[in-house]
Amino acid sequence: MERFFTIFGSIDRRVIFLLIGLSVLIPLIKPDWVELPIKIDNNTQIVYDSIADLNEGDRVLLSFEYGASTKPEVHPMAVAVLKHLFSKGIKVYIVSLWPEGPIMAKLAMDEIIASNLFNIEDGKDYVMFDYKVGGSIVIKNIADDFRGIYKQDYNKIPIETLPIMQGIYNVQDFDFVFDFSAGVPGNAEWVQYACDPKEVPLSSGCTSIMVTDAIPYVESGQLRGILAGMPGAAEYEKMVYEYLSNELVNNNKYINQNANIDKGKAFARMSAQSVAHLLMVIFIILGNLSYYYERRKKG
Amino acid sequence: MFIKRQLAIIVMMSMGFLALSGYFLNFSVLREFTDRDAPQWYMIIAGFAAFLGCLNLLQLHIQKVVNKQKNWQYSIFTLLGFIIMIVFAFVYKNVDTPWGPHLKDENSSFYWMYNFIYLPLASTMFALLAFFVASASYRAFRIRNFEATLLLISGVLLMLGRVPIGAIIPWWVVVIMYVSFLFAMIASKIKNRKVFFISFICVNLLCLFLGFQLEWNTSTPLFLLIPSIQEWIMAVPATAGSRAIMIGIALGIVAQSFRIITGRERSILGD
Amino acid sequence: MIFNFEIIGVWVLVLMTLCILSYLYGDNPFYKISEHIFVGVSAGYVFALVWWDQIWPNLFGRLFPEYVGAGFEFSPIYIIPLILGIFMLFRLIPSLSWLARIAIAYIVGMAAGLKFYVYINSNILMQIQNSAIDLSKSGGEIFNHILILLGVFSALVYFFFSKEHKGTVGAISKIGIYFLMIKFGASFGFAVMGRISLLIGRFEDLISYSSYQYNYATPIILISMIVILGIWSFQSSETKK
Repeated sequence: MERFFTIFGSIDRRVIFLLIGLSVLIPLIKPDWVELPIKIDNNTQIVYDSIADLNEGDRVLLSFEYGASTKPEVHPMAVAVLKHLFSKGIKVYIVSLWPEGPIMAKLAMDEIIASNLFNIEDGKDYVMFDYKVGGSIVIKNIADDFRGIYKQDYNKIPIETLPIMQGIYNVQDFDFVFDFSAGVPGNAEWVQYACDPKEVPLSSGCTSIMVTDAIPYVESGQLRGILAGMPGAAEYEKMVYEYLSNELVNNNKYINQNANIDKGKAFARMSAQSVAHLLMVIFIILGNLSYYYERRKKG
Repeated sequence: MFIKRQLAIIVMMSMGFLALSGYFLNFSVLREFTDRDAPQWYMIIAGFAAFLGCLNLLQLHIQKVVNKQKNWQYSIFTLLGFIIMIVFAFVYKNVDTPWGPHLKDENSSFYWMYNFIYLPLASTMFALLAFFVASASYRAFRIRNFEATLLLISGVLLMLGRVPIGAIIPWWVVVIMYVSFLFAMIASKIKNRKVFFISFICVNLLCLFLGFQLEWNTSTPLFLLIPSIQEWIMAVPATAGSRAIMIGIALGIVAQSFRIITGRERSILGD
Repeated sequence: MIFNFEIIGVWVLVLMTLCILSYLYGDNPFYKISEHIFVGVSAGYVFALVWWDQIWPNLFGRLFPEYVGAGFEFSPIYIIPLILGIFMLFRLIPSLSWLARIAIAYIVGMAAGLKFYVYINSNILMQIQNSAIDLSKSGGEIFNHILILLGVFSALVYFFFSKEHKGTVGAISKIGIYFLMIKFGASFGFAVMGRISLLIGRFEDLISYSSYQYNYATPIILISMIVILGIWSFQSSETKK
């Protein structure tokens, strides 16, 4: 036993790499080998309830602050939130504060349109804007004077001619702000520069790494819940999937009756995530056992 | 010389005052500038700062190639990557979309470069860290003292509690974890190892017996469910720690801003 | 055999992904090349985007409204940010680099002015306000509130360096460390979670591109890379000897 752990302590790190790789790869190739039920986290529930409380025709500003590097974590949230919003007949306004934001937003919208779930029209039900440099200053500008920075949508159509833009002058004209973030600028800047001073409800979906830094805002209500990384996305996807399936039966007028509702991307990835986490925990335990025996040997 | 040394500081101080005044003064001409033009200018100058970064990088790699410094061959790939992106952004676009929106047109050459080169490189670069985090936690996450134990327990509970697997861990495993933690804390107080192990097993059995008696099988209390423990850790102790860090950083930033606005902080300009 | 720009793209994508992953074996030319390409391409990407999304419409759109057609009116005052922006670029010329300081001063000064207020408001006052104990809540919640207050206070005492951490101050700051450790543990857990999620994303791509539809891109590139890496490491160990 003792020898096993001492040998284990000096294992080549490439073996660990290989095991981690396999723990992710196998559940992805064979998803039915490990199937686990998803439990909804309290903060995800708060996000869901906040959006569920919005009314038909409300205006929601979505801010895209992530890129290719964090797409697997944040993108599924964006798609799920968009589905939830459109199914309630809510108007969606998309801005981007990261260089890759517009592309991510477009990919998410393309996915929504391709799903054929909703009869939505660009410029009437949703509108997208280009990337702006400046981070927190752009947020401050959106808070004070939206039309000062955005004169045209991403199709270069003047916003005066867009029906969806009627009555939008600053952040207070939105009923809710939702931020998808992966760093700076991100949800902290939205809290500080726009939503706290102007008292607009804000919620966020972010990468796992940002969660502990944002959690004081969540507990104080400055953020209405938070979607934390891929598990947060999977939980939200599950809730939206159940909601949409239910609404389809109830003949929701915003949902196409002949469309297929899919479960979403993050949902399917949860078993791989779980297995990898379990393996990490096993590594930590084994590492500590070998540390214990090593120390005992040294006396 | 005045212009060389003082002008920048004057600009810095007056911009600081102007920006701050936007929150306190309601003077329309001033508000017009602080709310509209000043941020616009900021964004434009920030844009030029981004150009500066790119040009600086370019300069660095050109120098590397020209002087044939160590590993200069690789710098050619950097330069090539940059030039190709610039060509597809300003010279050749391959689609009828006007200049500008063509960056986001799926059929443009620029988008092709983004989608098939930039995207995989960026995302794999970040994903690579998964392996190193694993090997680091195996090597470095050791129970050395009470602080390290707290760190480890909170990390492990979070890893398990935040994913579906946490919900299927039964209550008795959690009971054993609690007892183990308790005994780890008092381990140094009990010298006799035999007594220690026997009492450890007895307490475990007692708690499990109690659990079966109270029917925790059917109605598990929240403190024995990993996801609930994780939620509590996030909501209470982790929030307290994060909030203290948040307040600490904010105090630092406010003090620094004050020094900038009053012109005391000059190192930031490269003085 | 299917052949078009998308297929070439997929092959390039798989190659780039595997080049970066090859770092797991050790530092090698594949990784170095892809890393350098990444730096160049991302710089080019940011350059293009900043120009077309920001400078062109928001600056030149105001200086030459008819030519650019970004919907802004002619405002000659925007010559000032243009000049400041050009000053910024002078940083590259040593004899004129002092001009860049004026542009930097604008950015720094303005950011400081804005931060001064927002940090006091959102990160200090509101956080203190929300650390208060609400006695109208249930017993469990009051306990949690007390714990949060205790944690915030003790951790702040730990950050307070003007007094030596001895006696009562030392004891309180010790409790502060415990709260901070739990926070860091949680941060670590979340960091692991994030990295694994990103890895899942990459592996999903690699799996989907190993099909016939993409001419078996992943397995072919993977095997060829392993072979080349094997030869390379064999050769470099030979030269070392």
